[in-house]
Amino acid sequence: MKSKLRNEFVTKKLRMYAKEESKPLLVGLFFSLVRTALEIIGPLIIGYILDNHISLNMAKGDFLKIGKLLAVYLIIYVLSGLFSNLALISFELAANRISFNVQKDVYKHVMKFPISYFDNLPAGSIVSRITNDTNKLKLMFQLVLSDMTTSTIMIICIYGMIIITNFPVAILFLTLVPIIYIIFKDLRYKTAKYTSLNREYVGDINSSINENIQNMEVIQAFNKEDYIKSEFDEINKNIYKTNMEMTKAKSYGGFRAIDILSYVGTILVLLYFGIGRITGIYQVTVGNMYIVIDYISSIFNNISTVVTRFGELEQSYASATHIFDLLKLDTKKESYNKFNGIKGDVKFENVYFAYADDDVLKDISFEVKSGESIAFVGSTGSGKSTIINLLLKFYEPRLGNIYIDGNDISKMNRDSLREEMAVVLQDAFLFETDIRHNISLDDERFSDEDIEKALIDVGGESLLKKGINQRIIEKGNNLSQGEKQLVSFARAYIRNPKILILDEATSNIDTETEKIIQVGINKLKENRTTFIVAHRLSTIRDVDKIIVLNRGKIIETGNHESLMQQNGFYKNMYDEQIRNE
Amino acid sequence: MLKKFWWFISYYRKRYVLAIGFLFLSDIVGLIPPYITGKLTDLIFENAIDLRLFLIILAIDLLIIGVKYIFAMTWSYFTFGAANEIDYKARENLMTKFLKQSLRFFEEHSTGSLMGKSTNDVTSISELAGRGTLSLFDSTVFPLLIIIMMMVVVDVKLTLASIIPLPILAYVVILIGNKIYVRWDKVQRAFDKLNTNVLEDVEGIRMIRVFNLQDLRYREFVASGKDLCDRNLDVVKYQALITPVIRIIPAFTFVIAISYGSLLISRGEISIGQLVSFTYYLNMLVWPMYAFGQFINIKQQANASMDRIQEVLDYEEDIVENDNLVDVKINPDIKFEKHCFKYATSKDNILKDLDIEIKHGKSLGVLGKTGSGKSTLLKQLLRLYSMNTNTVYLDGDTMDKYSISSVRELIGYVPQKQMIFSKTIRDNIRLSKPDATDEEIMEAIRLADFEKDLKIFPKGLDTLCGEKGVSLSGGQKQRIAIARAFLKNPDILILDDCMSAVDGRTEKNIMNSISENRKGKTTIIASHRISQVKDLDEIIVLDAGKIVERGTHEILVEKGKWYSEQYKNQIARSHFDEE
Repeated sequence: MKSKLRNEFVTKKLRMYAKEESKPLLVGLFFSLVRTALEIIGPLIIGYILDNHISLNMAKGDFLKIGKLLAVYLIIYVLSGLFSNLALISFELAANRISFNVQKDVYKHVMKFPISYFDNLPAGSIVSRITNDTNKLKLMFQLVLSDMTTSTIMIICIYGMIIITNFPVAILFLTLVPIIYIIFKDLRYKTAKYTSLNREYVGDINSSINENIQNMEVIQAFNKEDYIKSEFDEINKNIYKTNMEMTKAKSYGGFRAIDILSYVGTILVLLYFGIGRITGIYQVTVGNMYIVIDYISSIFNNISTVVTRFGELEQSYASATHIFDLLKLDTKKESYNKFNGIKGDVKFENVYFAYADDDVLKDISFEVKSGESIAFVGSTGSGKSTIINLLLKFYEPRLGNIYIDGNDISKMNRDSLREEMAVVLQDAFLFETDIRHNISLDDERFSDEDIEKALIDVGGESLLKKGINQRIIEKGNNLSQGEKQLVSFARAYIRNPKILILDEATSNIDTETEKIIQVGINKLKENRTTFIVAHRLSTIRDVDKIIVLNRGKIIETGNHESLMQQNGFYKNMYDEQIRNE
Repeated sequence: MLKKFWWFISYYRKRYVLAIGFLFLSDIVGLIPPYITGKLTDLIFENAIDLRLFLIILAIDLLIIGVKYIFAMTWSYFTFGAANEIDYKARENLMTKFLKQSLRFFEEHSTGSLMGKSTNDVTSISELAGRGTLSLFDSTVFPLLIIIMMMVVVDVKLTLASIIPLPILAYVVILIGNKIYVRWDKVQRAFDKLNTNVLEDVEGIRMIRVFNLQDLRYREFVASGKDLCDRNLDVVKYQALITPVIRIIPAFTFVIAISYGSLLISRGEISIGQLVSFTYYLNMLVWPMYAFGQFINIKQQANASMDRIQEVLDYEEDIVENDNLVDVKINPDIKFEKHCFKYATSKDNILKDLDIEIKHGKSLGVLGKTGSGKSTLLKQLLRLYSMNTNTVYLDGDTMDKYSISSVRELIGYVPQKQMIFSKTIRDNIRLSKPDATDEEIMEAIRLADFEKDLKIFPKGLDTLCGEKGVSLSGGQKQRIAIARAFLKNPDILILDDCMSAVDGRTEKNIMNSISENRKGKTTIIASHRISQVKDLDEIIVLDAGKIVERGTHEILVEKGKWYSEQYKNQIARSHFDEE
């Protein structure tokens, strides 16, 4: 029952998207019909010539007539070629546009998902849903529209023509329909069964290859090459077996069976015409016979297209289901309460948070006044970055509240909150464009002078030598870590945010560059509330407040001097780091 | 041209001979029904046949079709069956090759590229074996058969005149095919661009949200999506060009056949029935004109794929063992003498003049900063890389005297990177000893202090790990790996910093297991934590590949150098962990 409902949903969605492109679809349908009509006329001409003009010792007039008729025949096929070309282009246009529309909707929808969605799924598989699955959906529209619709139109029209011209043959043809149906059913059943099995095995073998390569060290260290190989062989053999099953099914059935059946169709036609002529019970002509045989083989050609395409259709339907399931997932509604300029007072009040079952933040409370700076330190997994995630509303606390200027942020509009903030993360994350756009982020408020000034202010003067037009290649690989981070500092600085967040901003940078960046950080901190998450304690010596976290709890609070005097966890960490550098 | 494919052609020669033989037969038999149709047309319309003979001929026709069906089934089964076998065999050859390589090979070839070879490239050569063989035959032998049939059964001149336009069809199809090929490449690139864009968005989702870049990024997504759409339509334009060509050119051949044919009929040289047969043969000739283009396409792809696969198959193994090796005896003494090592990719030596001796049954701890060479040292015994074996001694003989597998057989190794397979916990652990009983496995789990975690999983040992199963924490993965090594109860246990993600108490339990169970056996532990090495017989401290401190824990603490500093820090820290 459930799956049926879902299928209805998918079909409804597909129809909705198809409707949006109804114009090229209708145009394509029209051309397709015209083409079918033309191709029905073609054999009629040859039949007419056979019946009325060709004989022993023809007169010149006959040849002339034949010439004229053949000229018409040629024109008909030129036109048919033209119209089938136009039909194909229209259908493809529709298919491509529809998949593009779906792609846009999926993208928009996915980008609205809560951050946990992105944290929990590998990036590759999210991307694949937006790009690969929609691509397969396009294949479905192509199959349904260009191939199956066209073929179905051909089959119906030609059969109609046979009914009109040679009704008994049409009846005779019906005897083959059950066989066609069986062939169709069988192929569909086998394809559904074995291709889904095959896909499963292929998935298994891919992950097996992947894993074996990744884990080669262990496999070899334990001398288990043969053991792994035999496991691999088993899956590989399964693939072979399902492939063989499909080969069998396709050898006796599907396209091949339809092909043979089309020969049988010819025999049926011969039977009808032969009996008529020999017994004289009914009148038949040679031209008429030619036409019907031509029609019948044309019908079989199109049936074979429909039958073989059906299997592929089923596969892309799976992708469609995948996509529309995704579109059904809800995105969170946003509050309309907007921040309209803030001072920058931040307060955490008894905040608890868990990604899964265990709390990673326990009873966190602290306060920062506007213009102050605060740093969070602690070992990996102590909860530092989680605090930032909550402040940015990427996640919501399980218990407790976070206030900015006294407003509970859970009740405020997310975008308006973030407009007051700027972030520099550990990974600079640059887009593949020039430095200018990576700083301005296409915000037209910022002139080139602003951008250059921002770079100089945060200590990135050296970058100006390259110029702000310098293009940045994939992942910013043509800049050093330090340079990349300078760009993201400038990006934050130019926006003059009320709250600045530096999340491990200097972790990937060597100490040399860090000294330069430290100047930038001090510049950045002026006149705003600053949150710093740092690994290197030397970078936070002059912040106003340091919070030391251990396993989600605050264990020490103070500034650098007071914490050093406490002679606790912080001092211990600090001493160790100094020594290692 | 086919040289590089010879290995599988010769492997499946018998199958191929059968396949092509039946294809040949099937095609020849397939040429008979159109002839019968033509002949019957003449006989019927010239009133030269009675009903009985007519029905007999039709019955024979039906029989011939039946025979063709059998032939067709057979060739299809053999041809595509061979393709399936090649798919199987090629993938197997690759995997066999992978398993023989040293780790250097995997540093030189990315997992992605090896995956590509074992999936897409394998598919494309199997495609050549199946559809490729068929289209090659259909575009060469088959049309020849048809043309001969036309000449023999109908008329030579008519045949020659009518088929003139057909090569044009073949030519145009190939021409358009080339145009499409070039444009496909652009589609592929547009698709890659879109993928990269979306990947950027997904990975940078935090940045995008913080800076409210959703609209900007959406516009960029639309731009690259539009580009992909346009590129696709560009290909469609050319694909659609083929549709008029495959209608117009055959129409031309028909026009020639009918006009010239009617002249021949008028002269009494051929009959109407022959002309009818002739048109059927002409129709049959259309597909072969296509097939050649298809064959070229398939062949090009398979060629490139075969090269990529061959590159791996031809890769010379890094480590080649000579014959007359002996198996190492149990519980050997281990000794490194002025041992140096460098990776093929590294400039300088990673290990420099190491002198280490571990008598059997003794234990060694290795400490040092990240990058000091700890892991590299541990891997020397496993010979996962090609290395100088003259400076490592087992029981007084250099290591190259012994077969690698016999040495590895003695070792239980836990790597730094947690290597867990997408299998059940049971299968993950018993990788080291596939025939282990559940009791043995449970004992190993107990020693690795994984018992308490196992209780949480409702399916216990049958819990599936990896993508399709439960997501294990780093500490759980580490302990599964440790249990795997314990299960083997190896003569030499090597732990490479494999307890970094477990808490202090669990670590203590595991260390207790080691001290209880490793009596009389050799244990080597590399770690960042002093607590894991302090009870071992000897501890060495590495710095940039050299031994800078060595001795027992007590001696090293007394020395007051790096080791003792670390020790003080860690003691102080552990206080906070315990609370």
